[in-house]
Amino acid sequence: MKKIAFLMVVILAFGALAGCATGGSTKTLTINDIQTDPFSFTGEIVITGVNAGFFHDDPQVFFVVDTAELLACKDLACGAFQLPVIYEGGGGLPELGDEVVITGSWGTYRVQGQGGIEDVDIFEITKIEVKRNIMNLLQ
Amino acid sequence: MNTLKLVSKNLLRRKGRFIFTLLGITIGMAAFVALLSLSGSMQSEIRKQAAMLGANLIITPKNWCAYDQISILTGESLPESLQYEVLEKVASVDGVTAIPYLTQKTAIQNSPVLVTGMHPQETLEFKEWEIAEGSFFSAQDERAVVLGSSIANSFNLQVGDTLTIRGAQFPVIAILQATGGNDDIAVYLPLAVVQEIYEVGNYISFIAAKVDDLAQMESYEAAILDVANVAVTSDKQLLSTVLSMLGTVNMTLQLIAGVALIAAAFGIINTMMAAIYERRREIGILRAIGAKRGSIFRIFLLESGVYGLLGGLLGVVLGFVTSLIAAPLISGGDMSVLLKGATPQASLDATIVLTAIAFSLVISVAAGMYPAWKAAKLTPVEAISYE
Repeated sequence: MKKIAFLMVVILAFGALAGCATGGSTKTLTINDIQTDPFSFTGEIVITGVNAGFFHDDPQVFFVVDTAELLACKDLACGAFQLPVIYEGGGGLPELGDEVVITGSWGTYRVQGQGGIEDVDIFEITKIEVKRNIMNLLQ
Repeated sequence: MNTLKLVSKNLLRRKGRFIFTLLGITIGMAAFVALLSLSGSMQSEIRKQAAMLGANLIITPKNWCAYDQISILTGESLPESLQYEVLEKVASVDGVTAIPYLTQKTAIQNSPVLVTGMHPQETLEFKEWEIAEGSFFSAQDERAVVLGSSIANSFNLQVGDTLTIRGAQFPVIAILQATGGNDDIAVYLPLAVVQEIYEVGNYISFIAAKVDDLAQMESYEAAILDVANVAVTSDKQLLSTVLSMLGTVNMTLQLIAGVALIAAAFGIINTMMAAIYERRREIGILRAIGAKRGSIFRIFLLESGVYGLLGGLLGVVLGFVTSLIAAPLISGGDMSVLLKGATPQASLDATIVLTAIAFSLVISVAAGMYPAWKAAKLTPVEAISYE
């Protein structure tokens, strides 16, 4: 009987530990969370979304859209807000349609505008994690 | 030796087998309880939000999909899609009180917070809010904010503090009484101020309307559609759309839990059948000293019943712990992504506990029927002569 009680205690303790382990994780923001007032988020933040396309002049720059919005409208081009991000770290870049979790902070990026070179705001990625590709869900 | 003592002795005779069979039913029940707990809390949360909306009709742009409509209930930011003139047209319909909402987002201490632009006095009356601290807006374009109670508590904000939204600073002039709904987790500003700082022109997100006579709902809808090119949804239709989406997901998950339970039931059958073959001589002796077929049947049925009872009890505990762990993880999954802010919370009530234990008992007893019948069918001679 002691063995049975011990086994049950181990199962419940494992469950409780797992609960504690998941409770302390950093809040991951969605594109919907940040799109209307992005600069109210300061320092290093974590955002999740889907790679909806690359900048034609620089493949290290790509645009991230809201996952929920994309799942609803099923078209990579339909995102009302596309967050420009740049990843200059090692490792590969995400594929088109990859759902990513990106860590980083706001920075600036030089582009050739109509009136000459100008600085635009961009999200500079320090860490990128690809969760899955959702292109098959967009058919 | 009485029947209960005999049953417990038999069960504990092979401790390993007892534990693993019990684990089978426990895990199956835990999956079932976790799903009931999560989906039940989600449904009640959505119903509560629908009731707290306080509107009979929701007026949205025609091109909004169910996904956007869900956001009205879950308190997410919404696109600014209706021109302000639409509000004036809707409000011109006799018997309709209409108020506008413009929902956007900002961050407080790096956490996303809903910013709602509204007509202060009209919304105060429409929603029947009460002020906990400070004083409400005194003008339609006052540059100040009123906080929902949870926002004030979570970020330790008080009347007199300052909030920065889109780079502009606003003093906190009041904190609302807790409502228990999404109104507690928003920051409120006059509509004109939100339109200005978010640069959305004269657009609003949606219109909430109350009607004078609920029995005439269809005629109000028709009258609104006559004056404006919009989509009109009743609060009941909105609720039913969201609940039906949730119901489809729940049914799929419950079917998966059902398969786990059926597998566990076969585990019980297997264990009991093995027990019968091992205890044939014992059954024979019992029959030889006068035990009736019914008594043998009862002993084996009780044994499987004990699996059901213990498995049900442990499954409730394990299922609740699982739902506590799963709730934050699920909030990132497709179901929650689709249902947006309606994040599942673990909740356990007496109905779930009793349903789970009763269900576990029924499955276990049903699984024990065949082995118990096989045991009861043995004659003393064939049982004792078995080698």
